[in-house]
Amino acid sequence: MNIGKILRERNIIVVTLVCCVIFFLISPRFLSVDNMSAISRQIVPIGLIALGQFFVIVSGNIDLSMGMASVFFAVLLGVFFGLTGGVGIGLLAVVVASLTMGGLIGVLVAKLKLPAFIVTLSALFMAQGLSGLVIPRGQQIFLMGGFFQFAGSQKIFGIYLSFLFLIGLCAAAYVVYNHTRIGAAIIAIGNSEENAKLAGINVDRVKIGIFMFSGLCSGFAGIMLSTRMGFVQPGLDGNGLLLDAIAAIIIGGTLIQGGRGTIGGALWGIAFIGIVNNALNLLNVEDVWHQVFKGVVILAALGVNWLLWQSKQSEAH
Amino acid sequence: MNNRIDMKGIGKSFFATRALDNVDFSSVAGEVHALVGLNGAGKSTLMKVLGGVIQRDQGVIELNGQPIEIAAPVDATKHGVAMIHQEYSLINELTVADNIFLGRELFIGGTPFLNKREMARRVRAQLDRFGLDLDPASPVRDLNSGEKQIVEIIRALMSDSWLIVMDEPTSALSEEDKERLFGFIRRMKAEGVAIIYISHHMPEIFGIAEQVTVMRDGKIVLSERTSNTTEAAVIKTMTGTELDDFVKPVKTISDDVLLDVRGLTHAHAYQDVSFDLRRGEILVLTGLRGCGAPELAKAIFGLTSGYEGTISYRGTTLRPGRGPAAAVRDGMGMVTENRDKNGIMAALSVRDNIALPFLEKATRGGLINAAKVEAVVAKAIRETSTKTSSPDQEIRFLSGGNKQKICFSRWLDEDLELLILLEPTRGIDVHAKADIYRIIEELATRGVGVLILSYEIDEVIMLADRVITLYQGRSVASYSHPDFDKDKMLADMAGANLPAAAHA
Repeated sequence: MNIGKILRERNIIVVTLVCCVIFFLISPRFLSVDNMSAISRQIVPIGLIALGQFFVIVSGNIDLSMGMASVFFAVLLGVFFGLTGGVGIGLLAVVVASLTMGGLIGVLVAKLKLPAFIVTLSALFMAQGLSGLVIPRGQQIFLMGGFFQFAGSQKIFGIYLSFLFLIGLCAAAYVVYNHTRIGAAIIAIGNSEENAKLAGINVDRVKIGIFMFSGLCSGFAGIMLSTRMGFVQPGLDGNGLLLDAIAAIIIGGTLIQGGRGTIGGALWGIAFIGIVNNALNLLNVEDVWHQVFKGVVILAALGVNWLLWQSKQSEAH
Repeated sequence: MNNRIDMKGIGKSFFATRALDNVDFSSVAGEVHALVGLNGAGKSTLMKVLGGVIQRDQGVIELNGQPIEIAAPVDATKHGVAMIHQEYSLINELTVADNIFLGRELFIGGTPFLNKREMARRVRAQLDRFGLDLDPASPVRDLNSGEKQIVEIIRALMSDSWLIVMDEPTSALSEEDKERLFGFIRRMKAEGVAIIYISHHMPEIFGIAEQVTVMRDGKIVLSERTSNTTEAAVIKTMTGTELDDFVKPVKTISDDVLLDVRGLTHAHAYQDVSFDLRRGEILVLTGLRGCGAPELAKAIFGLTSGYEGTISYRGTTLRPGRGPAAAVRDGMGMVTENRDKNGIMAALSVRDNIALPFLEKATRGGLINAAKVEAVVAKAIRETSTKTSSPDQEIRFLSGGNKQKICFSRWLDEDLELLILLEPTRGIDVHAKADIYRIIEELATRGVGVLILSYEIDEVIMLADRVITLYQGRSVASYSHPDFDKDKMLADMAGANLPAAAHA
């Protein structure tokens, strides 16, 4: 395998490693164990949203609600905790609410044939509004106690529990995507709904399932957000999380129009976004420039991807 | 068991049109049955009845002598009937094995996990059985059309189909792939598969089919063993006269050459094609699908580059691939074969659809002259007798014929010099057809050169001042009005009259 081919087929790995080297040269602290550990904890909410989003995008849809929904679920957990002082009931409420929300979105998209863009954009605004309704702007609920401490900071063999949770969920998703009929069905739907139907796939059911999973991932992301920060408030930047997650998926080689993508690529995309976010903080990039640099880095990464893909296309013809 | 299907006395009407009239058709295991006929003869309708896509009005379908019901595509599948369409139903991003087992996957024991090894093994076994060198693990997107077709057929065979209907299977295949497909078909015959083979290509039909049936106007007009008939006899029975309410007007054509094409060659699409077109002349290119005419037309309109030879227009040689914007500026217009995809903007109004190519000319100082646009739109609707409630109507609500008239009316302003039409009456009813023929003649009378691609022989003869027949990208012969020999033209198109050069 020559260098060109590696660049083309594994370019996200190369880009990520090149970025690591550059960041390390600017600030050697970047590659320290402590910092790597910090990155692993920071990327958990983005990673969970990206994982749910991955299946949605491969099926040819999009879920814009995931960021603000995760903020809403964090707030929901906080409210249940504040009212009852118990964690279990709050977690249960988040899981039930997130599956219900995803299911409703799925039914609207699959059965009523509404575009996912419209349905999930509406869900985004509703989640945002409801968060503010439950906890007025400027106020916050502090989450204290064993569970939040445990889920947010506990390490096993030096690795954050929350990160292990993300990796575990990704591993399960990998098996489902590559070794059950669900994966083939999702790819088929993303390529051609008509042909998927002809092959006997229950397209509606698969779509509803996909949105229930993305809803659940929003719920998990909300829980992880709350445990990491130790408080919840409705002003959290959920849409920023969503955009980071979508960027991670696309950088990971998933076609935005659906039908193609790998879990491995998605994981590298998540790592890449996590590394860039962390490095920009670490290098003391001013807040206003932070976003600009992120834009430049993503453009560079995706632009290189795109150009390489095009050269591959023209080679093929 | 020697399976056979018999369709007996099948009748089907669409409103007043008798699409199928007391049709008997049989298919027997181990045989290829070729089904031929002109466009609209009823071949596809008959196959849709067999495939459960539409319901017959009369008649019975029998499997091994027992009447069966085929009310939906799933019933056809259940009885072992599979349809291979020209548009493949494969999933590009899945592998060969995943495609073949899509929807009927094999699992490891009672788990939900896929048994990929066993699926690959079974696909490998099938491929080996037919001597095909394909990797079950390669994605379908990396396959060429011939390989995709074979994957599609193997998928049908592996879901226990014994009867396979192939609709013009060679239209998108290279010579090499065709040979492989024929080899594959012979193997299937030997394995006891029945094949219904829809095609116009006489050499193919007489090469692989045992039985040939010709349809015309919804009826069977010939059904014979191929050993008992000839290419000429089949071609003769395909044609029948069709009356229409359009009569070609008498006119004189100037000697002014508008378009001059010399030695045009593009790998795989067309080879060494030369012709000229004078102002006011209607020149029709005809052949079977895959004859190269659409690609030629697109090259003239500036959509493709990379061809050899020259295209001269109004005395100057055109730069290859100069783009449609330049073509329109130079007074060319084109109506594509695919109205809904390339012809109209479905969500826009009738007005916007007509005005679109005209906007540049109606713009002064960066602003659009609305009154001028309005006048053009009103004139276009009137001249084409388009039926629309108002210019504000969204075009997607119009009938196929009216949509096509609007595609035409865009080009009716006085600057038009060359109009290129691809399959101008595809999917259009008889009355709208006559309107469209009339518009074309009016344009020609005005001095516009018209270049048409048509696959419908009766339309070709009715409309053309001159006809060039094409076979697989080569021009076969040229005919001038009124000396049109329909049988000879059809033979040209079917590859029976190849010029000596084509064999070299």
